[in-house]
Amino acid sequence: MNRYDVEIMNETTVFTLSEACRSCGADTHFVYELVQEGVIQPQGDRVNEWVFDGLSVIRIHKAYRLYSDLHVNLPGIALAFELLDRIDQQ
Amino acid sequence: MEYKDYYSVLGVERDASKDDIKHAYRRLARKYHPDVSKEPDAEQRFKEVGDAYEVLFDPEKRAAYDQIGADLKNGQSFEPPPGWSDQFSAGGFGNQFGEGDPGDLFDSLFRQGGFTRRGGFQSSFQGTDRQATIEITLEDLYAGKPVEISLDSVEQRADGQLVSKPKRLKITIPKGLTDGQSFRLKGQGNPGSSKDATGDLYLTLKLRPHNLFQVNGKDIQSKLTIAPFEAVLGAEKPVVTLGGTVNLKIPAGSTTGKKLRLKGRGLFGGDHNVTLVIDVPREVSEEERKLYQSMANLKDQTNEPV
Repeated sequence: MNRYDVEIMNETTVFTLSEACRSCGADTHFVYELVQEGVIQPQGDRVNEWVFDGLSVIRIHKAYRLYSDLHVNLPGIALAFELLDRIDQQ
Repeated sequence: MEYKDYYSVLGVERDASKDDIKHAYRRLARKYHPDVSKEPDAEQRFKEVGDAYEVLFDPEKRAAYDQIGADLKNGQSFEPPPGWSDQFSAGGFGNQFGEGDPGDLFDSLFRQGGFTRRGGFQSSFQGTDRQATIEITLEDLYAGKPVEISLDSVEQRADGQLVSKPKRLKITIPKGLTDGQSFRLKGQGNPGSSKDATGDLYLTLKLRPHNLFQVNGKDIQSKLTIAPFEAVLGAEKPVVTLGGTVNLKIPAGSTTGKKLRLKGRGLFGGDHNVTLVIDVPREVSEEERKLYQSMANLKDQTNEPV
């Protein structure tokens, strides 16, 4: 009965860099820096070959909200993620 | 209209400086940000704090807000003075980003005109995709019950004016998804220049706290209280699970903290783990006390360490 085109965001969902950016309004530089900080890991060696899975894309969304709502900078976002992940594991 | 005391929302005095207001806002925004907060009503509080900050940090809006009256209490009803909305009206492009209900003080007083919200939780993206959270009870998720959500969406009227209109979606959550997981509804985001350009809607599931169960992925955890004699002798006890009550066999010699697994009794094939808690009676009848005493005597005679 689902009338919508539904896609689960998981390990098998694939997004290109530009799709990932478009999905939350972040620019490519922001996503690039998230990768440098180790918050997300793309597949593909070169930047123009990068693809992200659905879980990474959701992390990008969350990171971008922290960035725009709370003005957290990228190292701060990386730290927040590390602590949030630790809380989730408990 | 209900008066909302923005000073108490931020926890500052009415004569607070701009710095005080900024500090209070930043602290509370971090505390209630839906992505980091564990508070049950975080999203609502975050929005409130953002509204309060936007009004009180801007001297012009703050002066206007103070005019409403220092005598009013939170939740008290009041009539805005005539011409209120005109004062803040900067053209017909008003309400289209409205998110709140019609009784929302912020929306009615400060969003009539050119002022739009900066950096609210839902408005942090500039693209045509949207993100939202679905709150659902564990029972509804287990039953696969469709969820109805309401989002504000902008529509263009025949005369070209943009108006805000709630958009209702009835969604069947993809089976197997649990707390914190997300899915995308293609073409249900903000409208673009053409039908094909419509953005997508990203929804993240958020389970409401349950009074009996804790949820960890697909596994459920609950506590079961047993009496000391049940711990020693073993017992069979009824346990409430998502799929109904089942009998759990407690082995003799169980201790507090022992975990027993009900395989496949969790969410979508996950397990239900029961943690035992031995309830030591605080009051005992005379007869029970005698029985405990004779157990104690028995221990003494056999010289076993207690």
